[in-house]
Amino acid sequence: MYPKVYRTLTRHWLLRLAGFAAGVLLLYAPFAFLTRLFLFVINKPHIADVHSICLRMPIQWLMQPWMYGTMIETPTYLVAVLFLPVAALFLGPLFCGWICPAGLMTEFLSRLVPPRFQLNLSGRLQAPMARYGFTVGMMAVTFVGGNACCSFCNFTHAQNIISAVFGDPFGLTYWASFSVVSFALWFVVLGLFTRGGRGWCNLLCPAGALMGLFHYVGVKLKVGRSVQIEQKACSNCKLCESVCAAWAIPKAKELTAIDPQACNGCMDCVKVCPSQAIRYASNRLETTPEAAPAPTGD
Amino acid sequence: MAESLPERIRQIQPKLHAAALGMTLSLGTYFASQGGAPVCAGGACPASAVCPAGGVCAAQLPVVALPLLVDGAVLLAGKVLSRTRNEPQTTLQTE
Repeated sequence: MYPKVYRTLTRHWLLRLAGFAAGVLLLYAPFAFLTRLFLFVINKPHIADVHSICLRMPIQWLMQPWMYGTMIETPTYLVAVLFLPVAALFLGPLFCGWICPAGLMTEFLSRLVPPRFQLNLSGRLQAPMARYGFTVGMMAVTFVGGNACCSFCNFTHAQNIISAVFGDPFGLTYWASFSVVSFALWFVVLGLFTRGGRGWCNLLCPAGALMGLFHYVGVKLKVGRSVQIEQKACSNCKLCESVCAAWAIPKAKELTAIDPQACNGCMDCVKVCPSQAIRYASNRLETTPEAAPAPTGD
Repeated sequence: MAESLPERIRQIQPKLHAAALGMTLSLGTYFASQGGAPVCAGGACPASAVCPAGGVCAAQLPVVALPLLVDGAVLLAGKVLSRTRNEPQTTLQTE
């Protein structure tokens, strides 16, 4: 019913669940300890929840540079703006694969759904490009006089769920609004019923797009670390592809390689590889050929 | 050897298609989430981006189609160029 490889990943997934818990405690109300600490240090009164440390708004502000003045009033945005892209450049988008509760929530819940009930979108669309397109579209909305960064924000949905779990059910009372559509898309269609559970992350997350881009730049500049495949040891069994929630390993290729723009640093592939051919190592080591874009379904 | 233009277009077409779909989804869902009936009240609303009737400015809706139009144009250009390149050369035979 479920792939046997899931048993191999049990300990690894428990570690990642600990990361999920850390992400909730650090970033999400009613905890948000990291945000509270930062607000305490700078002595600024502000709501301590995921919105205070948002990365989506600063991305849209690339088209509205005058809005960056908001960071003077709410310096907590600087934590996301400065830390996440730089961390992705040198370490890979580990935030996505190990800490982001919005992505981890749908990923792990989707593992409970039998694969035969799930859409397999891996390889059917060049997900990194679709994600870039979505991000550019979000920024382009400013030219028609609007702001889209909050319209389809899955971080908000995750915040509402976590708030409801910890005693604030009114966080979920937005079902009369259009947000119910984005919730259904994030949690149900692209979450539970998509292979890997990361459909939203792979296709529609601007923060993931930015971190993926920085990670790609790091790989190209040979700085930092990334998940790599040692081709000499690779048996091309494609077991890594079967567990990759980020759709970063194309299936229909003779050469197994990882697309750094798509990889979220979860390292499930590292743990599952029977040949131990996959490693999380410095980009200065001899790297394998970068994954060519997967063919689309023509 | 330099790649031909049709070959380059063929290589970038899947990427462009994915990006166009992402952009269309982003723009389309933004407009869809605005709510309200797109009743045009006239005036200079496209320029001001403020709809007096509330809701979506119908004049701005074609923006949603723009990414797919570009994608379609590139696809069409690629097909035309590759067809032009593959057409057999015909020569007039004179006796």
